[in-house]
Amino acid sequence: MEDLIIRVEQLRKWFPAKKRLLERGGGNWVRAVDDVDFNISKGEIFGLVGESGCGKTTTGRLILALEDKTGGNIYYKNQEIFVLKKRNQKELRRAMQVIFQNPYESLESRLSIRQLLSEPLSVHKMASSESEIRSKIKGILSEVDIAEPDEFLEKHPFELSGGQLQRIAIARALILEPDFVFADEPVSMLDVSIRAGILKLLLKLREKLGLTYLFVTHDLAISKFTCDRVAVMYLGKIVEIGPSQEVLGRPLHPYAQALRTALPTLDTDKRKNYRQLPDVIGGEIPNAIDIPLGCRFHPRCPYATELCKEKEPDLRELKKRHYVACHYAEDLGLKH
Amino acid sequence: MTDLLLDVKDLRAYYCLPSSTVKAIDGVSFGISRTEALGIIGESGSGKSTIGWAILRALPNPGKIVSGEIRLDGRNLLELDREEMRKIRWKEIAMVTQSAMSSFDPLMRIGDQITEAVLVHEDIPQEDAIRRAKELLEKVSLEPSRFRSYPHELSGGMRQRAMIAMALACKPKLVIADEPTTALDVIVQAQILKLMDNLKSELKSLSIMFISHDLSVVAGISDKILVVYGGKMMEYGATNEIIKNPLHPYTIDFVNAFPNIGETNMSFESIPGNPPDMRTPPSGCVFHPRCKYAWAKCTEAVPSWREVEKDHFVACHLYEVGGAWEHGRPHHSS
Repeated sequence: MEDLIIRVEQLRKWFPAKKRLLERGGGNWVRAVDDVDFNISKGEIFGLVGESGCGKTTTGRLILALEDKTGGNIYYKNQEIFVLKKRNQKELRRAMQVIFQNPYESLESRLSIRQLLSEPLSVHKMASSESEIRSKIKGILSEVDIAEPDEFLEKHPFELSGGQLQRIAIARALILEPDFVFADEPVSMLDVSIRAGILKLLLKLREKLGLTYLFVTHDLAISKFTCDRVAVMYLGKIVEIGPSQEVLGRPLHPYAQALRTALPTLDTDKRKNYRQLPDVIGGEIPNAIDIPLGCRFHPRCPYATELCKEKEPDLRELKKRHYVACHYAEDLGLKH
Repeated sequence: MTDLLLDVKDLRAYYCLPSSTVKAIDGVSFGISRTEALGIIGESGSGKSTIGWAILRALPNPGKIVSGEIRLDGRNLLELDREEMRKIRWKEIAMVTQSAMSSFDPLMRIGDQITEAVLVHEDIPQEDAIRRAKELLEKVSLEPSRFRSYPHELSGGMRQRAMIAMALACKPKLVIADEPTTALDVIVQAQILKLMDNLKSELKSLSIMFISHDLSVVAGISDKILVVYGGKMMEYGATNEIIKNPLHPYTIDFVNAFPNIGETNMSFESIPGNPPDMRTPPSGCVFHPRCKYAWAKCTEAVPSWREVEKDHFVACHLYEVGGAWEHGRPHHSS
């Protein structure tokens, strides 16, 4: 069997919905993550893509035990993460790190870069002396391609550019020598002109440090560039999962196809004016409290039939390691 | 009468802070013809939004228009008094911004707000204004029942549609759209862009200025594109020219920085360095510290604006006499 780092089984996170004033009864739930299964192998970059509210970030937060689950299980190297004892949990907190979307918010602005990088080392007792701290900081800064670390150390976050800050955030996650990193939209706050550099850095560090990533993004192009495998989520469920070249190059699920069609492109030969764009799909994502019965995509799906209104489709393997949750995926796959 | 609707000449708008002056736009000139859509593209801090607010003479404090001309149908907006300018806003130039939520009054129904916008600017009976508001909602594909909705009852996409309806309420000649789809998900974004493009071809008299950081979003709606960087114009030309045949090293790099999902082996590259700190902009050409072709002249003098190919303008010393690309840019050196 492959070397699995993360195993997610029937994972579920329902948030209690706020009751409106004078509303009776209860039992309304926002089904943010609704029975999700996937594995991440060692050294893999696994992407979760989808629109806002699809549950991709909540899934990542559950894996790091930053949220309590409602149901299902998550295993990190075969240990169930929600039942670990306190001492082991601290070890887990070291081994599993996160890079947040917005480095302007995730880095405490009153601390210097030196303090930001040495704090995790002292919390986890990863260095026994000042000189060891110094050398670790210097080492990690060179890993994230910050050329002159000495100049940087006494600066504060507001003195750095967005790209430099995100490098510091990456350094802060990696200084603890984790083996799993959850990257939550790591470039979406950055200017377009510097995104490629950060993504290539993450790819380089994967090779060099033997990391495994969960990569969450709404940007299909970026996930196709970065990820080995991706899962497309819609309303708390995975609708398609497989190698990213296939899923994002030739999607089989009608929702994934719609996402792909809606994506603006610079390809001048294929590019049309928006008014020539086929009607992608109408409507917007329904409220996660009122999830449609049957296939949750059926009210917006151009191919939906009676079957789709009644029966929720399971993920089925259509090609090798490529699964689709659609009753008609075989036919649709041929159409595109 | 010329075909030119908006004519901006050597516009400078600065933010004067106690300790420094930020030259947010510093000598920008361009025109928008009737029924034309101009895309203005740039990164954060490039000054692209400042251009939009300056045209409406609604710069946030402490922003100030220092010099230049903004002519709409030949009238210089900078010479108008407050009352005259108030009449221009919404009636002749309307704006659609990124956050529709903060543009609506949360306590007023959508339909009433659109009706009010009409009544403030036009001397027509209320029933006519209400009828027009209803027609506008239909035009942007909102259900008639939405006339009586409050802003918070609409989804993000619906609010953006309502905002477009409101922008069109007084049949303006120019709509300035500042990142109108940036807060939206990709499918709703496509719906809104399609709506705007349809409206543009349907309303025979509408010009659009579409401001965004996302070249791929701008490309599908714009006839022409203006590239700005560090408060200066870098390049101007037809949309396909800018994408297929960029001439300025910044534009070349900028187009290259966009991932193209259609490629099997996707290649895209960052531009080295960072956008300039506009409190202390670089000397000479503002792009020179990040430019791989920069030569002596680039650090010393601000490049002039020249027509390098037909209807295709660039501010770059490489194309000047003695510059490496004086006789044309070598093809695909990058």
